[in-house]
Amino acid sequence: MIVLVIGILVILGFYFLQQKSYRGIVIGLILLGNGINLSIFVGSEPTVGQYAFLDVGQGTPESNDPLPQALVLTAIVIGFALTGFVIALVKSMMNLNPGSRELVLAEEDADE
Amino acid sequence: MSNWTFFPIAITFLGFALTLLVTSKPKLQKLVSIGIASCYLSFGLYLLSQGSNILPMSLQVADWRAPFGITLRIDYLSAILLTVTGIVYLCVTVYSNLGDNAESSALYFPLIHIIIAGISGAFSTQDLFNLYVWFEVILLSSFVALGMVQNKSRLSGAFKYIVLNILSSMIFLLAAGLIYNVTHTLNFELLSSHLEQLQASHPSYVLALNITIFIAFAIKAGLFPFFFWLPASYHHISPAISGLFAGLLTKVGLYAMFRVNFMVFPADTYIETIAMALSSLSILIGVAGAIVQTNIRRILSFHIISQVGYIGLAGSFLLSENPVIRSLGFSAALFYMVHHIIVKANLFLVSGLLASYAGSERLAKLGGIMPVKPLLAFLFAVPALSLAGIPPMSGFWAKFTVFKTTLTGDYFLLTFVMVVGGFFTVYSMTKIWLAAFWGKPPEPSPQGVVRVSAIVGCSLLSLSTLVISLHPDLLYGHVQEAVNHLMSGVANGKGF
Repeated sequence: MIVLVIGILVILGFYFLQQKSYRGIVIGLILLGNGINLSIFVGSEPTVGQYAFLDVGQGTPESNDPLPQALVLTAIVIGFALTGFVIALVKSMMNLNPGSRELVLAEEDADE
Repeated sequence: MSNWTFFPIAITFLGFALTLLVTSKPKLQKLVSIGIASCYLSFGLYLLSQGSNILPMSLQVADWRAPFGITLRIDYLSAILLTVTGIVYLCVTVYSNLGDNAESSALYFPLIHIIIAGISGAFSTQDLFNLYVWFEVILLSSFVALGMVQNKSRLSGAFKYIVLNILSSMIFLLAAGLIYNVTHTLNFELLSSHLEQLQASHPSYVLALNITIFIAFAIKAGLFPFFFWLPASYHHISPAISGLFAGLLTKVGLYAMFRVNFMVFPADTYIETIAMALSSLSILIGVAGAIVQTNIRRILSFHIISQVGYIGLAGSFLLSENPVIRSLGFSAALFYMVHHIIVKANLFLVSGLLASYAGSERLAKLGGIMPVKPLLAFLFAVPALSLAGIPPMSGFWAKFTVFKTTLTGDYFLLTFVMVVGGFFTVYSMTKIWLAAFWGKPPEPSPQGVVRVSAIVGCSLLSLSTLVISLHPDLLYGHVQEAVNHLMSGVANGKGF
């Protein structure tokens, strides 16, 4: 079931990245990032209701591997910062091209 | 000694903090930066002078043991790359004058330090996820550098750079996560033995992971067909910081590719073929793109792609079955990389000198600089001749080592590709030379002022190129030592 969600997130992410609008690209990056984070988390095959980490003294049974969760946590934080930066960039690009929601990319050879 | 492994990262963070403290005094910022960069470079030179006595040195961060904690490790290969990074670091800080050839932002110097911190981290880490984090450090700080001045074409270039690089990071993250889930480790040393075992039972799975992470690094390195972000953005930023980017950023991608795809993953002929094909195409497409351009830094940006092709081609011999070709090829790749970092950074910085003097970087608006400013012409000639591979400049030795490898291994098609690439490199460097240094000066004659410190920065880089040119054995000795270290590590099954 979760695999299906990942699939939908990634496909939608790529779909939105193809859009020629600022909003589309931002949404695409967010969806793609979340799809990938989710896939790393699910890939570690966590079991619901198990101990988060092992308590050596108690001799508790098997616990979930905490490292993928730490990785995903780091990735979420970094992804959030990147998304924030992209939104700020898109905002200033829209200010330079007022009134346009379409992605406007200047000619590469333009001399400014 | 092991705590010193952290030194390159720590001192750049110190530089970041100190320059942030004095944001209102740009002169002081520059002085502090030069001091920090000199410490960084001297550390690199010290490591190389001690050589095998202290290398490799490694550090378990916070004393967490290997499968759980992060390992930082400076081996001979990292030491060479850190030293070259130090040279570019020092020269760029000397060269930068805020508002003239660098962005007039108080954040400029702090950003340089943090980019170098990211690069040093990437060069010294032994942990796949940690490598991802260092890549993000480089990426975010370069984003800020790109977005520092807001005009349409610059932001458009920045947008392409940012979206493609975020995509590459996501692919890297996905691959790192999947690799962890099948091997339960991120440490390079353990990864290579675990992947070896997995290769025996699930070869296609290992290949899929290998290709995924290869694509992520190929985007960072600017290999064909993933290079489009590079020539779209580099010529919009100020010369000083574009020198830093051009010299170092793509090479971090290449380094990661060599280290992870070619050393940690079990050798695979399929990946070898892909790497060779993409590198050869990069050589040709890069120079072909350069021919039609008229902006100096855009020509140079396309040259980065073709030069990355040369380095990638030499590096992909690491996957060869013949041990002689393996060590010859990787020595060539490393030599080429060092030569290229210095020369490329220098060319971008010198084009900044031309822009300060003539007020433009378009070939149509330049001309006749040679009789008026012979020093500028000389400073451009050293790296340009070297890039073109004219003997006895360093580029000749770099190309010579690659040719020697391909001819020893009977790869005649690859040799032919490199000859064609080399020919067109000479052609477009000649184009810049004819248009900018000879010919008629434009009317009215340019009156721009070139700062002394900017000339000093370029001269230091030219001096390094000349040293490598006239004393190639000096660098080649270190390179061979590094390759011997790596190869003996591979033989003992505990390399990298």
